[in-house]
Amino acid sequence: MRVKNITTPFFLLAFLSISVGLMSQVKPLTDSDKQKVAAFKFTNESQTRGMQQYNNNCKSCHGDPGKKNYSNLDPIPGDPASAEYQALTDGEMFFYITNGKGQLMPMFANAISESQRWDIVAYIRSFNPNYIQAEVQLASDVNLSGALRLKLDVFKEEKRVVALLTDSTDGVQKPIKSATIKLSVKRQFGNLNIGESQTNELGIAIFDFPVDIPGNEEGLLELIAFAGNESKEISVSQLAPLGLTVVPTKLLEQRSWFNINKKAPLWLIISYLSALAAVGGILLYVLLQLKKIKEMNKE
Amino acid sequence: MEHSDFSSKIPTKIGEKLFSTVNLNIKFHIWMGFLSVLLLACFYAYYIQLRDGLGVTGIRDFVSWGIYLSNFVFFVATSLVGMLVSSVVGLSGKKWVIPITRIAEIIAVAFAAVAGLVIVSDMGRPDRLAYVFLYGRFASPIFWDVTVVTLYFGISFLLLYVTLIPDLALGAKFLKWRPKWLLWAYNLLSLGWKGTEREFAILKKSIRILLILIIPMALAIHTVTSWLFAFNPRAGWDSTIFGPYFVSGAFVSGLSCLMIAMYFFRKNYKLEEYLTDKLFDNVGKLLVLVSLVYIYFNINELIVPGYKLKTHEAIHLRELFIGHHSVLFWSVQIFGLIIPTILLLFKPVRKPFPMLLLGVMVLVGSWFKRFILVVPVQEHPYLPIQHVPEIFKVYTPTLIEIMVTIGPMVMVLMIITVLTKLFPVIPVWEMAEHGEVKENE
Amino acid sequence: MDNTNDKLNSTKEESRRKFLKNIGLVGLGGFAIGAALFSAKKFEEVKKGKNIRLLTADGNVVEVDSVHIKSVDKDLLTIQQEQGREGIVGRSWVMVIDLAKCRNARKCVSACQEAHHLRPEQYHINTLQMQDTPSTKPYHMPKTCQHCDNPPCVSVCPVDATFKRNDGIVLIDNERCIGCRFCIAACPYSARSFNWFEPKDAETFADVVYDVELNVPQKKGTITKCLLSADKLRKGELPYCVSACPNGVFYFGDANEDAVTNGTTKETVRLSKLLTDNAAYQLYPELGTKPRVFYLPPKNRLFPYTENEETKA
Repeated sequence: MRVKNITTPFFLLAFLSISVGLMSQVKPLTDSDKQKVAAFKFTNESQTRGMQQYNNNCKSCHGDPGKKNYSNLDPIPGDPASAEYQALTDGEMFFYITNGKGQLMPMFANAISESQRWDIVAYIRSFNPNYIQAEVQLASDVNLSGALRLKLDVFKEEKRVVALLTDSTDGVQKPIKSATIKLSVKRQFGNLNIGESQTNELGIAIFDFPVDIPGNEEGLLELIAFAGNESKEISVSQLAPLGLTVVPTKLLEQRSWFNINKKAPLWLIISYLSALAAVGGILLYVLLQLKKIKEMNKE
Repeated sequence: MEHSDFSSKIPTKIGEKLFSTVNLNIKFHIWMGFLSVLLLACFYAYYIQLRDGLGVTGIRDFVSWGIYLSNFVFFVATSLVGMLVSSVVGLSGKKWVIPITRIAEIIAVAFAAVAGLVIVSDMGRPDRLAYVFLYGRFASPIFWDVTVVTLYFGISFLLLYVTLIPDLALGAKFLKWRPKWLLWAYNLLSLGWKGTEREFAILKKSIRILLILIIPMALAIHTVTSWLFAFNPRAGWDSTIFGPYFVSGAFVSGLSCLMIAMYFFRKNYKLEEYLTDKLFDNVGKLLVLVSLVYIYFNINELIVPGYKLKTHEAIHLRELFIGHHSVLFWSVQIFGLIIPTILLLFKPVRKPFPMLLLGVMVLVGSWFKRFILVVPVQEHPYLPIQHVPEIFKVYTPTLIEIMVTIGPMVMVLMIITVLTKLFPVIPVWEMAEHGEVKENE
Repeated sequence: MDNTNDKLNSTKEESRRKFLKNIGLVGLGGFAIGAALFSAKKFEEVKKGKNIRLLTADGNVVEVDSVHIKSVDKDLLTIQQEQGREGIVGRSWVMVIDLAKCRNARKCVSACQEAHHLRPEQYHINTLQMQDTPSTKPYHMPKTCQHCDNPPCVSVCPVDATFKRNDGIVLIDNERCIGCRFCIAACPYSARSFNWFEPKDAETFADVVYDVELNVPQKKGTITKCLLSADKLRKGELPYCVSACPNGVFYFGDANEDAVTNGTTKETVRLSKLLTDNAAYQLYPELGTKPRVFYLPPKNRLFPYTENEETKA
């Protein structure tokens, strides 16, 4: 359903004619973003995966690459197979998919994972016979590899979360420093970002947890910590007593006009039934009087 | 069967005359035949509606209550005349009202009985009518309405029957030339009435109880019916005076209906001696009274929002005063209410024939007044009506819808015809008891 | 009631006598109710004795009396109706609509109409062209059912066919609805639609068991309205309209979690912060309906207003 109906993300990569005011809403493109490259080699598999992602998220506006059947929108989304698009660096493409573009194209940072976004770049590049992928390199300055371990300690009183990131490749736990750890809270339809923190020399990152995030009836909520780059990622989740105690209000417990009969206003039920009984009783009395007349005349 | 003491107490002249209308003559059969054919056509229209859905009418998502609902309100309104005439006027000791009490009761029974059917014709799933009893919610005004309409019909029916009992006993004496089954039915229904003092005491007590009981019940049916609208948070309906406004309007439409019926029975049933000019004069005055009350409520209902002109109230009033519904609105107010009221202030107008004409004007006006009350509000909800076909925006009743609306009216005519042909339209025993009515003439 | 039954069974002669005895309201009322119940029972017993072929779990084709099939269906129906009335435990759904982002793509409308088998003129969600005052600029406003916490439509329903759930959704049971349309009259947001004719594709879905949380199949002569895709929510997914929007207009979530998720970007944000930072408002709060749908004003709009040629009130 969703696939068919998504329109409109607007890629107008060729022309960057956006007003300054609107520019401010979009994350600016930096040189390092431009230079960014995928952490893996584009293969047929990555292109196929990219095609699926493209069809789900991009096709409704951009059409099929090479067929120029993009939606007739203002501004025109354009065909990703076109020369203008292919003139972009991989990093630029990745950046626009991630953060959105111009006024219309939405960000996909939360909708599509990082590697899937690179898959889309791979798919778009497959329409360019002259494309040669730049040498694969790890973009992150932190070397995340080996047997990563991420551990969370929760301090309820201080409302503090301490994350420990280690590598135990050689059987010894080595702390990883300068790695970015993201902490979020699981919610029904996605993860609510709480904050980011760098690990120190000891591989420890400290988070001050907000005091007003609702938990369940016991005040529990599910924490998710994430660390990673293009090549390697790790995430852990854990129940923590850091939330507010939320007892869901039961709307149907109150007596009200809109509630079911059992929960109708008490005075209403009493009034209705007593009025009905009174009228019914009077009518019954009249009927009995008629019966009396009839019986009187039988004799 | 021997004639009881009771029937010998009734002056033969009165008895013979008033029972002469109990007569299933050829005119009756032709008239009923005509009505039956008409009713069949209406049933066919309803069949089409059942088959294809409510979409065969002009109502749609925005104006979703159309002439079916206005017709229902009209029926409930008109049925209130039974309570007005018998109870309010009767209980206040006005004896002149006796000759028209039964006509008023018959009108009440007929309209109340059919009102329920009118509402069924408006239902998308009439096959689920029983759900109202199975799953009825105490908080829904529809549930109250079903309750009180049923009770009001029951009380009216019982009142009609109870006041008829002594007359039924007279059938044996005065209905000699009528079919056997009719005499048999009269005898059965009369409960063996002998006219003893004790019987009369019981009967009069019962009548009195019913006359008192019917007052709150009649107020209830029309107040609850007005709440079907006033309970909704919609500009134009969101009014605190809808209850009395509707009740006073009901008296107007009921009395006009009674006036037409009186004229008809006077002429066709040759009852000039009983349905006298004086009686018309009195009913005319009564109509003036209730019309003035109704005009008063109209002024209130229009000027209060009209002074403030709150956004959506203003749109609604503009539509009524100078917009899409203005012609109908002003015609109803002027020809259906103001002109008849003014004319009836003059004694020469309060004669049978002019009153027939005015009665028709007021009755037709009353019907369209209900249309004005129900439909225009829905054409202007708070949020704009967009992305829908034109038929959703402007309500126009379809032919099928009109037929299905006429159907209940035909049924009312049939019920009134049958009841007034099977039983004396003027209470014989009460006329005999209060002979002075005739002398006063 | 006994009188009524006697009456139906006894001979004409007796029935007349009985009628006399019991004449009046009690008898009549009893008769009316009795007849109504009788007809309802009749209605339940339709289509008896028709044999239908079925594929069993072990691959055999068997012929079964349709009565039995119906009873199986009915169980599923009853289960769905019961859980549909209960709602999803502990949830309190809210929707936030950011008017600054809506450019009237109407993808929410088409996704919704497809999911709920609606005709093109039937809307659970509609985008309206709004202009608050003559001097302010027009804007597009997606409008769903507001899922009021004091729902006028539910209060007036005579048969409990539309009802409030603990998770805040106002739902419809079109197996119960009698089609009186009082709820349409009561709703100040024009949120309700009616099946005036046979619904779209009625034959195709004639045998599908009614899902109260999807309100499918639609039924002639009953009400239909937005139900916040209660079926999707039960699966933990975002509503049809929310995930169909290409412009990030809709946020949806659980107020108990104080979080809403954007249907387009899948970004999850604090509900309270979103509402406070953007001066969120509700439609006609003065009516006391307590809506569950919030609007963010069309401030700093991302699109110029373009009028849709087919629309103009």
